[in-house]
Amino acid sequence: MNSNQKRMLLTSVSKPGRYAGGEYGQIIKDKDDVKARFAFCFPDSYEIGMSNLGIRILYHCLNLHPDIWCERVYAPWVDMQDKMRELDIPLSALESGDALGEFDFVGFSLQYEMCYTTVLNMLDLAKLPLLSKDRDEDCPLVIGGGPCVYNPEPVADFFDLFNIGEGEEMLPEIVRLYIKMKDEGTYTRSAFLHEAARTIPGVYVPSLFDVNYNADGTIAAYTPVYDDIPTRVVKRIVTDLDKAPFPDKVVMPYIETVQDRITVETARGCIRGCRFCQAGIVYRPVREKSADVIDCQARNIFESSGYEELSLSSLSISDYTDIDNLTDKLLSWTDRNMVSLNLPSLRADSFTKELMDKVASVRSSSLTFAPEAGTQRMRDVINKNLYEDDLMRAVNVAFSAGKNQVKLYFMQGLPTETDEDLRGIPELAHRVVSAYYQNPNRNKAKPPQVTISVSPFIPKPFTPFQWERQDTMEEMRRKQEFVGECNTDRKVRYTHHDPEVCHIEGVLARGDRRLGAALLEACHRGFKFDAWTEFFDYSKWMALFADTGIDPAFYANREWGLDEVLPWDVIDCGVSKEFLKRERARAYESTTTPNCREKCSGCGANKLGGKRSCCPKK
Amino acid sequence: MLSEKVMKRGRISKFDRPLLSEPVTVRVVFEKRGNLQFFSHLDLQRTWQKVLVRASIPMWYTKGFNPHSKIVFGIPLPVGSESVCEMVDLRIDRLIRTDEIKDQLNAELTDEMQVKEVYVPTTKYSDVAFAEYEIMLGTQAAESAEGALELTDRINDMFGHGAEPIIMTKRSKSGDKEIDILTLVRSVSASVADKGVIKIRAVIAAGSSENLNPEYIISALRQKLGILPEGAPFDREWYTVLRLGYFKADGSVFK
Repeated sequence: MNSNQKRMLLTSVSKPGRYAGGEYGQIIKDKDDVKARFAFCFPDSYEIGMSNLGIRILYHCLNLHPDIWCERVYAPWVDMQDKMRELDIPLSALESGDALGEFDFVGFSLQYEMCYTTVLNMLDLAKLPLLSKDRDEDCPLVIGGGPCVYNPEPVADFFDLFNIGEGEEMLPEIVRLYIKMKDEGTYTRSAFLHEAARTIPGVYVPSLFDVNYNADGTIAAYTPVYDDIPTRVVKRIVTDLDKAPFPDKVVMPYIETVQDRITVETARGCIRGCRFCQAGIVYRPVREKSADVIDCQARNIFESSGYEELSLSSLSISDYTDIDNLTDKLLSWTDRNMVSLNLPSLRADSFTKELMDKVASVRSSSLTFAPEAGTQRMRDVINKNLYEDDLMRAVNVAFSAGKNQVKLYFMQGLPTETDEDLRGIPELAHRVVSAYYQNPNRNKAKPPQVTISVSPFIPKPFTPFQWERQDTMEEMRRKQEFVGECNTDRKVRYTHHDPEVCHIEGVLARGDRRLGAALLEACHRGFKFDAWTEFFDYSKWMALFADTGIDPAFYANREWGLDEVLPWDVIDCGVSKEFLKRERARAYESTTTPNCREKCSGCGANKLGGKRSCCPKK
Repeated sequence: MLSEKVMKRGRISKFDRPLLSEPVTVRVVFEKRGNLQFFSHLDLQRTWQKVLVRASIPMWYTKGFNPHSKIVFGIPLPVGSESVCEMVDLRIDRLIRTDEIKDQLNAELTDEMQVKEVYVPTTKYSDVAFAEYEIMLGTQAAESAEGALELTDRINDMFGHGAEPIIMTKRSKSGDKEIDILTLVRSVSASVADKGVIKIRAVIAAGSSENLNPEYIISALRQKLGILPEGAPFDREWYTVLRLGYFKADGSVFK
């Protein structure tokens, strides 16, 4: 496509800036000078994909190699998809404008289960065969990574290889092996996949495992087809976050994106171990980046980007051990440069006036906390380790500082939950409202506004609740109504999630390879953008499952056996199954577990190593 | 620490420049070419906020609760048009030479958005009355030499002396309005540029009081001459638009 044709095409669709490329900071290489081309695909719109920190990091890691050129690809919006199909234009990468078929690797970041249909939609737009077994030697290798690969089985048929864990080192190793085998003349698709699985830790090649099922539909066994590859794939981590590559320059979007700011990680992993939380388990062991490195990285990106907003990212920012020193360092240059500092993921028990005064995110009139459950019993079951006193102290700090809006996140459908626990949600919110009126320093000109947002619980792999049943649609709906009825305080606003999406997400989260047939059919039926409410259609999903012989309740609403082979047992995330079982038992006894800094609970993740972690050495 | 960084980037930190007694306004003239044509006026404003920060331009910030710099853009450019004459006025509060502003900005901009000139303006954007555009038109109707000549004649006649009114529906905030676009056209002249390609120079109303989007010229050609039919293949029927400059109401060049 020449520039005139590109102009005519792009001016015929909405938001052409999504497809233009040409951003400041993009990396252009001469394709004749590189040995491997990598198309980094994000299965959602440009605005969402461009906000992703992981892609920024991996784009940098790959492009550090002079003979590797990594480019970006986002899912075209539906109007553009129609044009592309009408004019027979295949999906292409932004930097070169070349079709995905010309690349050596097509890599997908799998951020949430509801993006699976968009992955297949993008492969289809790229005119690549969807199934791994249908792709020949001339096709790119289709690989995946990201949070969803802790159970990649529903999409296993479509991928040649998965990166399990952190990609900074693993991903370039995979591409280097490809280049080496091409140079030596030993490359074939199957030889490469075998060699990658054999020699690169963290590489999972689904086609190298046979899966057998029992008569009742549960899994009998995973069997590797070669005896020289690991029987379980151990998650890869970056041991020392200070030394991990981090971009000093980012691609600057011209159009507005979801998170258009400097984002720097402070740590990976979380010391808390909430029993519903997948991220809290799979990113273990907890490893921190040192304050000097964070400060330097933030400043480099500030100077190369001009962003006037800085966000520190981690699963629980206030658990960062050196937070006061870090914020002081940052404020020494952010203030005079008019850069505002954001600290998301604040825990109520570590929210202090000192911290609040430092950060801009809390300069707004609204504050958000996640008690997750309405009663202490329920919070003990999920190991939230948060007491009502902590929350009340936190909201009073906020109220005394003139704030009047508080947003509280909760879950419904948690194991052992009763209606009393649900009733506790609006009651807790009501006590927050009362605390506002009792606070003598409140802003008397403004009424309080407390928003409670309640999401249905979705059991996720690698959590102590991975064996639990998810509420049925009827149960989810009844509970949503019940919470609404219990909320009698007019100062409390109640919002809840769509149970239909949660149900499908529940099926995909614990799905196995048999779901591949349903997803393939979903692509043929034109499913895409299922993370968007305007495209998600529950009745179409139910029809799809019925037509492809999938019983969604088998995956979502069944209590799984503790001795059952799980689809994700082929992956070792570092945390042992025994630990998860112990935690599950403690949940049923309403017993909490101390956080990693108070006392090691022996989860097993310390076997992976890690600098600046609080784990005892193995 | 800051000075070290700044030395690496080869320029002086804005904080090391002496404060001016009064903020000063400077005008930056820049190109918006290639891929940049697909970004809107709003995108451009957001982009420049960041460009000015990373270029360490000593912007004056408002003193209120939410301090922000003052930047004012010239006549908005429609999406799908390129330009060699975009303008933005900046309010600066520290001593910096105009050539330093140009160099510092260009180091932080892509080849498709380079600064051409920086100066202290003596005009206001409201002095602009017309803008000049170059429209390149690729059409099968101009494939043959005779066809191309006939097409240029017909275009010149459409907009020449004594031409018939060209009534089109013009969209505006106050609703759709039927207007004769000739009343907003100062001149349109066509010539053969290449095989199958016609070049059109159009000087049309621009600015805050009267403004004509160059797309109306294309729509008029489409309507009257049947070229660029809807749904035509993009490699056969295409056009590009490039803004070249501005004029005041008296016909003198706006700078």
